[in-house]
Amino acid sequence: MQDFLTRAKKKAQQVELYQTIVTETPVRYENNKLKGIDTTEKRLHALRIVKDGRLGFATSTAADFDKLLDAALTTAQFGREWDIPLPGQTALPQVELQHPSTAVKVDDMVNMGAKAIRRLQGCHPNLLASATVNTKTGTTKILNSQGFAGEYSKSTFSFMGSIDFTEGKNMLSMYSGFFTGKLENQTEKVLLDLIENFQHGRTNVPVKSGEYSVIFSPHGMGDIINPLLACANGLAVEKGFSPWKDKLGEKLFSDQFSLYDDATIPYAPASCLFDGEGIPASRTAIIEKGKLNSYILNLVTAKALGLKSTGNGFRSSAGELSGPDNSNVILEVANTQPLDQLIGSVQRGIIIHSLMGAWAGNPYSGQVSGNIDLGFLIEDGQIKGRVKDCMMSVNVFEAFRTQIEGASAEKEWSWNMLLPHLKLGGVTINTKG
Amino acid sequence: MKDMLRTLVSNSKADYLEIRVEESQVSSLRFRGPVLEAVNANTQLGGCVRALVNGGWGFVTFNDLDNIQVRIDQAILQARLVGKAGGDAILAPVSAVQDVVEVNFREDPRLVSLADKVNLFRGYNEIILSYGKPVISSSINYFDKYSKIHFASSEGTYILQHKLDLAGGITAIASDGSSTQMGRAGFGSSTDFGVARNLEDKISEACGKSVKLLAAPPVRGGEYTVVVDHDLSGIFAHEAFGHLSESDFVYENPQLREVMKLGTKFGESFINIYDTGLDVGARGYLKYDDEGVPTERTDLIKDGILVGRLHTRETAAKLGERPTGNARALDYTFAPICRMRNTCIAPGEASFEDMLKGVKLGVYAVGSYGGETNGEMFTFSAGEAYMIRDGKLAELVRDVNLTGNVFTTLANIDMVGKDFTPHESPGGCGKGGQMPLPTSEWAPPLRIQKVVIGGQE
Repeated sequence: MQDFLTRAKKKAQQVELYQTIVTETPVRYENNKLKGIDTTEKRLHALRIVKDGRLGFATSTAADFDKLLDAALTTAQFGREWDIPLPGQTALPQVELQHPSTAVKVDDMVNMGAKAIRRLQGCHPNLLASATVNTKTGTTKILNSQGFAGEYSKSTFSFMGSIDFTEGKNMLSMYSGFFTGKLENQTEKVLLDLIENFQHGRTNVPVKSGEYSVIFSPHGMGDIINPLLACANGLAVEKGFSPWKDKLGEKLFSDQFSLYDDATIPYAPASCLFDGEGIPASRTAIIEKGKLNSYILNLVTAKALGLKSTGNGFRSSAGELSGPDNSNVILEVANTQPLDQLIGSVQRGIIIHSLMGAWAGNPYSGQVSGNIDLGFLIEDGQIKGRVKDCMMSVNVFEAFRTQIEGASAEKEWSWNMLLPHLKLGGVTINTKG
Repeated sequence: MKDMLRTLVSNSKADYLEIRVEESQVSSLRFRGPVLEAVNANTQLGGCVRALVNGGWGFVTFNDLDNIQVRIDQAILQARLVGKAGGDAILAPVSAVQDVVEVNFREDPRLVSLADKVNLFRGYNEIILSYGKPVISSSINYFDKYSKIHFASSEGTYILQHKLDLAGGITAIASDGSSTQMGRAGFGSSTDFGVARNLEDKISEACGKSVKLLAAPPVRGGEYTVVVDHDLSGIFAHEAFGHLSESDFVYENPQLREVMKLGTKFGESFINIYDTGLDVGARGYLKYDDEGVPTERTDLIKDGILVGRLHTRETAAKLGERPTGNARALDYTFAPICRMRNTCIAPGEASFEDMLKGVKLGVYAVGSYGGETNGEMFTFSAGEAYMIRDGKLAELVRDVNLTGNVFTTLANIDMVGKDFTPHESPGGCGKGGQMPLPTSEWAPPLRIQKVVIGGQE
């Protein structure tokens, strides 16, 4: 490999080779039965070069490096100007990424899935339960001409369970799951949540349009946080799309509220040793007690803004260069209370476990609206039943400034986000009639 | 390749075995503001094996083509394990096919030099960047993917399909310091780089839209009579009914099968919805699906009545219906599942003026930001919208996200427009982790009563 770098260095000023191999074994249960077992193996070789001050980039599934170099040299004729030194060798953080508990054998995954399906089926004879049990191992390697040579392997286990239930023209569907580097008893919690939500969801209750206190569960909150992450993204800031472009250091939100990006949490879904450019993994406070503290940056956006990379250069897909993106996202709210008390404190409100279509639209406006895919009416602290055919709308810029009414002390992982249940006041619900 | 694959599939111990090998080249470029951020060349070579043994599926993917026999053995081993656990998959019979499918190019993007592509899009970028304040930036994405897909099955089918998918999105971004708004233009094709040309007027229009949206208020939430343009109407067809027509939702759900019984009335007699793989040039064009089944035009709703649904070989067999050529895989790293191709609403008779007539307070929603469905309820999001007041178009509003329920909203369509303009856009459909799959949605404008729109009061 070093030979290739030496050869390539004769044709380009800087060279970076990024390689991954990922193997996954999903065991899939569909509609109450084992449907299939897959094994997928994906290889990627990505070459970034700087030639005459311009960037070239090519990727391939095949390890034919000279061909990759030719392709990268071709694109470099048109590539963006580049005068940033790639990182040299540097100390990498200690981050635990592999735990023996995730090395589950296929037979055991089959059994785990079967047990989960039986538990869910126990809720109702007509219910359809599905589950995917998956193990994934991957190795990421970067070598560059500035002397960086890094490699890490990562193993994760994931479980996703779902329920589909049809009664006449009423459909009740829900899913929940987790993704972890250390398998403990997370599956049990997912199953209990699904079972509880299924029971609550059996009864539909009417709801009127108006303003409500709304509790977003960790799985129902992603679309509420996305506009904040979009605005903090270094690319949106650099290009001027982000309304936060001149607001570093300003207090934008309630001082109860903080938001972090952290790639160093042991065994967390998006943890790593270094990002897609060889910058060490780190923790970044995006919003600290309501104040905008940092953007999320890769090398090129950091340079353009006169800042330092936060180690957030990640690749959105195999054929893409590293762009600024989040690793693990952590939301913190001061003054928490136990979840049952948080729900108990709601006189008339809604708890949302899943939104639909709320990702569509313009994230930089802060306006989020989506159909309540799975949500329940709460009256006098008690869950009364499911609300349907409702749109939830909120301006999240305003909501995180003035509408936070509380959060649960308990936090849960929703994919790469570690979140409490969050209660916002004055959220608009629109429905029929 | 042909001989190797045919030999491999013909000697297997599986009840059914298929191999797909895909070679593809992707060329992409991206402008953000004045900077050409990325010019990428991406080459992929990989394959997959899918085996059925005693009703169980095993599926294995790989990049290394040296020893496919090992992958076949592994897929069979996995399939056997599933079969033993009670797998009950069966396949509807289809005729074996031998075919080579070429792309019927109008303009081959591979013959356009990278320099010419860069210049074309740089020109578009200049239109946006020189538009003047408050347009402050731009975003342009373009890709073309050319692939050769070999498909061989143990039933004697061998197909080599050459496929092209190309698409792009051009966005003008306006900001007044506190708010950021966007105007978009998009294109897509399976035969023609030419669709990327001559977009100057559309791009100027997108700039104008982004500026006008800055001054527009968010829509007030509520229940409205809504007129949707052909673009949003296409997304409506896809989300409101297309997904529910995918038989993997229905085939193992007896309760839903009851509700979705062929012959059930879903809308007025002027509602006709179909899904087709036959429109050459559409991103949803497809001669054979990823099970080697020829595609077709499948009527879903005819004269308001449910008459058909979309099938893979397995869903067709289980429901005693005929395969429709809707088994599609995003690429070789995925097994095929039931997906749409080009989902269309057939044109009706109403003019735009007819649709506005008599609407005291309504919303005319234009352009699409996409949508989502859970089977019963769905959303579709508009790029911009105008209030309709006393039968006339009034002020512009923004942040318009609409929702409906398949069992009531289709029946609430009271007018179907006569203007049926084929329309292709970038992006694609997502399902089961497979995204973005190229699909098309062609539809005329619609008028729908009682649509709930999100927004503060």
